[in-house]
Amino acid sequence: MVQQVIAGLQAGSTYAMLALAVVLILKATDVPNFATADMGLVPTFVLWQLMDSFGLSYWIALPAAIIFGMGLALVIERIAIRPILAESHFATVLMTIGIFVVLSAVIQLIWGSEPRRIEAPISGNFQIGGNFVTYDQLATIGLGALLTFALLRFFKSPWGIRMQAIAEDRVTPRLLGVRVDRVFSISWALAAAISTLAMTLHTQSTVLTDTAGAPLILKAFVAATMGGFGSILGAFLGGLALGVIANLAGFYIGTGSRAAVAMIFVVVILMAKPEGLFSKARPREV
Amino acid sequence: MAVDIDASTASKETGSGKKAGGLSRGSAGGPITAVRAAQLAGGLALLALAIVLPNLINPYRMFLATLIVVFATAGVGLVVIMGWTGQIALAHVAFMGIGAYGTNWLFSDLGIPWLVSLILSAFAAAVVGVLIGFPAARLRGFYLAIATLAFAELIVRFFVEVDTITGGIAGKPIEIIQLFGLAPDRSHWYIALMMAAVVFIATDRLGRTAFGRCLRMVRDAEIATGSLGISATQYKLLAFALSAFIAALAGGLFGQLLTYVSPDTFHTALLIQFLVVVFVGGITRLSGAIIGAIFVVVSRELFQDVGDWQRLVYGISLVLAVRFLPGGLTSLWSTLRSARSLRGVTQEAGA
Amino acid sequence: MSSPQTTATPVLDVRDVAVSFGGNHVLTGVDFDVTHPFTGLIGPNGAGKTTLFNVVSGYVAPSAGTVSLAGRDITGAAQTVVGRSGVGRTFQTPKLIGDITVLENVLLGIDGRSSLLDQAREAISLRGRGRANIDRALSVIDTFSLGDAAHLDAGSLPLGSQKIVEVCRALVSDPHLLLLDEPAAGLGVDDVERLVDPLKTWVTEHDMVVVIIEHDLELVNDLCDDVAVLHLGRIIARGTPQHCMSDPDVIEAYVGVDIDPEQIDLGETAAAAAGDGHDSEGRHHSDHGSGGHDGNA
Repeated sequence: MVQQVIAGLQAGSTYAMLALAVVLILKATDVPNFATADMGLVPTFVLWQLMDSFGLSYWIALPAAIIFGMGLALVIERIAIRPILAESHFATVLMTIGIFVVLSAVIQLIWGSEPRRIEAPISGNFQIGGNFVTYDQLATIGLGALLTFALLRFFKSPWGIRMQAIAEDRVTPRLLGVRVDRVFSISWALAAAISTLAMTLHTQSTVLTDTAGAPLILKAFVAATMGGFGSILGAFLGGLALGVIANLAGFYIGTGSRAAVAMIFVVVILMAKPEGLFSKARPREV
Repeated sequence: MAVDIDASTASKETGSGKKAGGLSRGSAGGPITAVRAAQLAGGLALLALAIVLPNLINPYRMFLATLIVVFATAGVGLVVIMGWTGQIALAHVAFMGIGAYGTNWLFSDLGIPWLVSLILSAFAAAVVGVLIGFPAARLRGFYLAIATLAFAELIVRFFVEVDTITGGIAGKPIEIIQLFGLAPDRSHWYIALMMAAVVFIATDRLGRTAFGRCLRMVRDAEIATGSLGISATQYKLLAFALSAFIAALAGGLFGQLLTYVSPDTFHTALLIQFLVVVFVGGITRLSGAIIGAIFVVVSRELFQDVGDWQRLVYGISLVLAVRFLPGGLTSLWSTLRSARSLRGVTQEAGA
Repeated sequence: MSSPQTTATPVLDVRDVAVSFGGNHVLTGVDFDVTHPFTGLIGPNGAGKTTLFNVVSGYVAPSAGTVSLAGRDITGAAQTVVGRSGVGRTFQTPKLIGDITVLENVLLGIDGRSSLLDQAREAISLRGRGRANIDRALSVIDTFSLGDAAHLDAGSLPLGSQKIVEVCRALVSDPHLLLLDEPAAGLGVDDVERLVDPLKTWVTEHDMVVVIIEHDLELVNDLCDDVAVLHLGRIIARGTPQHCMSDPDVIEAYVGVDIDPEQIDLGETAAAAAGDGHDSEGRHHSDHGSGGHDGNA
């Protein structure tokens, strides 16, 4: 059972990291980004391609992929998102869904549907109290915690507070001379970097396919929901909890139930406490 | 500075100065009767064309035409819940699944007449719609989107689990019906036409009455509904029920056209196609559902052999539609009309 | 000015109402009764005026105190209940539906009063009650001289007309209490007249009283016989407009300085300010401190 919990924590860290990316973009630009997972999946495929066609080492391909992901995010933000920020939230939700579809189709067109493998750089495992933990799992969980901590510090910093202020009220900071566009771009790029990392870690421990994005984005939103969409810590803990619970459910009840459990979870939370388990804020009005 | 997004997007969407035809149409004299006569003649011609169409084109083209009608009908449901009530409800295709699976089960396994089965399934879908509506009514924006997506997942999972009825993950063949012994393609076409007629006319009528006004108030000014004695929750539930009912009706016929359904049929790919239907067509208008349906079915055809390109087309259409035509293609027409009538309206320096 | 007709039982009686959001005490110990045809509710920004309206209309439940409507306790009642009990209200920015006509917007004022069954009947038959409602709506629209615009999309109208439409919508159900939230905000003098003059006539012809939140002190002076001044969640003055506006506490609240009341006449200051086209305080700001934009708590 502890083995399952550890595996759950690993999966959960992935959900958590994606949730962090979602919350980051939401806090900074007030856009719920349904394309978050696929914005990290495209760079992951690029990483695979770099390693496969050019024989680059993982440690070179990974930063390259992350930079690619950040560039992609900047383009998307500039072309597709910024022009419609003045529209209703309805429009931005549908836009990010559209972007998700485009990215997913592009992946399918370029790389097809066959599953691929990314060789994890460090293999092997070690033991804690009779249970096996792979270095991969350690890396995933550790990175998740690190990112959470970093983001928490960031949003308490002057930069982070500025970012949140801009997300809530787009007019006043502009009048005060704050470079709003720069803030938007930076937050999207940052979120893409986190997402790339998350998708890489996820697919290297499972398998790299073109459809990896869709189930994960839903889980990311579930995790973010648990944290109330405004809370970094909530998103992280929510992701971990989701991973563990879904995994245990899958183990004891049956693999099909994993997704269902996650869904029931989110529905119950949204009904009981729409503002999230950890947040004091009120739910966003659209 | 308080920016009222609702009023400004609404008027941005439809253009200003448009004269609506909903109520109190004056009865002038000659010119109107002539226009009416022309409309009537045109309508009759279309009707005649629709009746003889199966004689004019081959069964495969009939299939496409019927598919357009079915998609347009389902699209009406989305117009009601998203366009009129403003709820980002993404469980629509799951309701179509309830219609398809339910109708087939009641008809094929239980021997209930097909039409009765269809209506019963539609009511079942409406009930599920209300159940989803209860928590959904408390949510806004993308919280709502996620909740409805989650519910859709649950429903699809239900299709997988209840395999005695649904055939589980492998799916189930659909028993084809024949209207008065006509060939299937004709039967489907006539049924689709009749169903579409009923759905369009009834929904249009509802939209012009208090019901339609209250739904729009939930969309644009929910905060003020209470002060007028309008229960926003009640109308949201009604909208969920109605859109689910319509989706299930279309779903029942959709099953007939596909001849085989599986849980995957009613999942993400189909949802995206429907989002394209309403967004390319225009989400606030019933006519938008028709235009969007034509667009999607034609795209399906054109890109059939290169299936992956299909998804790309949908994605790009959605992105472009949201970016440049928040009101869909049908808003182009009213934007052109309003540009003319704007010259007559005095403009003050308003808010 | 017409002699003030007062009502015996206050149409609206707010007693000792308190509202807080988190640690923020927006209203404390507010007593507010409405007995005159036009009662003004004034005060600097952030005083809590819109929050008081929200309490009355049922959008916010008070943490203490009671609200009565013609003697009936409606404290904490749901918005729809209050709305159906003869309370009408407008908002700082008009909450209209842009893509339907003025007539249809006004009809919404009656829609809320009819049951679903009635609405279903209206949908099926093309005559009957539907026609009566339309006539009623049109007559209210005509009272405010907007008859020509009845079939135009509400979104195409300038702000002044939109505000009038919102008032028509509130009036069409014949309320006993009308809450107007900054009706003159963003409006020129002509527009204010178009809104206020028919309203004055309506009040004399119908059994209705009006409470107005306003920053336009000249309008308040002209229209209201009774004024309450709200500042930082408390009523700091009550009485005729002249009395309130020469009250030193009120002057201090508005101007922020402790000054000799002999040296300043707030009504004059407001008139002068309005006269040279520049607004006095807050015409373009929404009442942030009193619960957020347009009544959002």
